[in-house]
Amino acid sequence: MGAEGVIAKVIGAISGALLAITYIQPRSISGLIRRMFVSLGFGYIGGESAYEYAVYMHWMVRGTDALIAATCGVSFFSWWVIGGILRVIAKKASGEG
Amino acid sequence: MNIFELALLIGAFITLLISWRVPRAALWISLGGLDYLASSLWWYAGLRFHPFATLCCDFLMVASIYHMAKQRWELGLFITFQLSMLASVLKMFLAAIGTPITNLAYAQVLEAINWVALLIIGGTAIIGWLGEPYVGRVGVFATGRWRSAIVAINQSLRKTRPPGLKFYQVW
Repeated sequence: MGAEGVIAKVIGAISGALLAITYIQPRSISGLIRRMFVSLGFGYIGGESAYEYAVYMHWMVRGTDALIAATCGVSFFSWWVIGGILRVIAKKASGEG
Repeated sequence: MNIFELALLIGAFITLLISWRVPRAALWISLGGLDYLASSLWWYAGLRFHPFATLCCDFLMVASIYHMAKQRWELGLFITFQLSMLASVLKMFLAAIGTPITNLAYAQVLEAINWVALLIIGGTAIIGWLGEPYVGRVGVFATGRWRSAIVAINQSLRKTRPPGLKFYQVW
């Protein structure tokens, strides 16, 4: 989507990251920086895929608004999803799973 | 300036007048005013992505409350501005799923949230007046059950966080 898409993804990623740290506050500054980094990065990278999937499934209407919303959603949930994946990996690695 | 903005301005001024004894009330009213002003200016300037601009302004407000608040009643303000952020994100999502809400409805939701914030500050101030040991001895609040209830609510709202804890940890 060109420059419009980049702006939409940046806006969506920032929105999701801000909402995530507002609702579940990080305990320290380093936690804040880690979470912002992960949320912004994953939102920017995974937002477009989520957008394409949502449009394909007819959940969203193709356009800038949908790209912002999809990026925002990915950015918001990325921290918990990554935490869950890491817990599963740690469990498998320790031989409990 | 339309009639709703004028009403909010008058409401904020009245709240400021009655809450001069509440610590940080003037700070939150002025910061909330700046938040409202910034997001309104963005909208009136005709710039795009105004829910995002409102969300960023509300985030600054939430972050200020998180860092500077000390008493229990300020948690109400914190939650109010969190809801304001949620309203902006909901506006983005509703536009994305093809059922956009109108700008008027969105503005009304934000206005309502601002009024709730003013009511929280004003209500704390009024309960503070009625719960004062000498000043608040008026009418039905002079003695008895009402008096004890108001004093208890006032003490509860004004409970200050111990050092090392965040204000929401005293709730």
